[in-house]
Amino acid sequence: MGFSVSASTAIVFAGLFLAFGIFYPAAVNGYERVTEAQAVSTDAALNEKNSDIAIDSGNTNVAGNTLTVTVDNTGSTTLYVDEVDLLVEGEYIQRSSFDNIAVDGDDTTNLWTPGDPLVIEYTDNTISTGNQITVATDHGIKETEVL
Amino acid sequence: MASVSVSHLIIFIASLVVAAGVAGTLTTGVERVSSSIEDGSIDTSQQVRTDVEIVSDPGANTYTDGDQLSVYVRNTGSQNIPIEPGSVDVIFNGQFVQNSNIAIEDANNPSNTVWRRGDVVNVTVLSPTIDGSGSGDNRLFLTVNGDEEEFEFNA
Repeated sequence: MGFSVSASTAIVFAGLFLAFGIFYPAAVNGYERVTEAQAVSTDAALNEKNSDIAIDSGNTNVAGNTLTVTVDNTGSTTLYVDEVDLLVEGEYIQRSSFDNIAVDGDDTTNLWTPGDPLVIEYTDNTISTGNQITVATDHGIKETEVL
Repeated sequence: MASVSVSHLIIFIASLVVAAGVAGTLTTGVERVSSSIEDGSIDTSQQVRTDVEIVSDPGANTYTDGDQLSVYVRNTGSQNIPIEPGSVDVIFNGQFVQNSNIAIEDANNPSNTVWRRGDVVNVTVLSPTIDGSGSGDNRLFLTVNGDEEEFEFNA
């Protein structure tokens, strides 16, 4: 009688150990996965607060059929040239159809550092004065200006 | 005397069977819960990582009755999203828009099938009923993986 109690207790305890062994990694992995996602999200929120752009209306105009847009990076984070979007009258302009896009005169860089002006040139014969343009960049930060 | 040993043996085997049953049920239950926790954490982390922003210009005079309604949506999160109508839920002026009435494609590279961070997609509501009479105020509500965005414009 005594031995059967010990044996069954041993089996139940082995089961408990096994159950804990299954549960623990699942709980830790799940917790880490969610914590990491929250950390990435918090970082992105911080970067969003630190990022800002402003359209330089003095240097934004239409000459002939060419639109020149000058946007300043007025935040404190580096933005990316290949992630800048332009909308003219609500229509999205494909990034590949810009004539030129340059940061402070340099059209080879992809980094739009704080304080630098970004100049986008785009030619389209439907653009005219009075059109409304929107420039959007990382984090969905956008600025709108009437030409 | 022999009958005592036999009955002890039977009780011993029975106790082992009961103990094994308890342990088996316990581990099966815990395994099921652990698997749910894994799945739940994957869903939660994807929802936390998903962030989109509508970059369309609500002030542009391009939204008129009878036209298709296009909004440009940028992925600003760290979660890749498949480019297919089932990835977005659209409610326009209080009416749910069926997946068959939604067209979605990458605005820069239409052949792209994955919506990555920094990419902009064009979500088009086919044959919407844009309210151009009365106040002309329209409202589009877009949900992507639990992230909700609102776009209001005057037609």
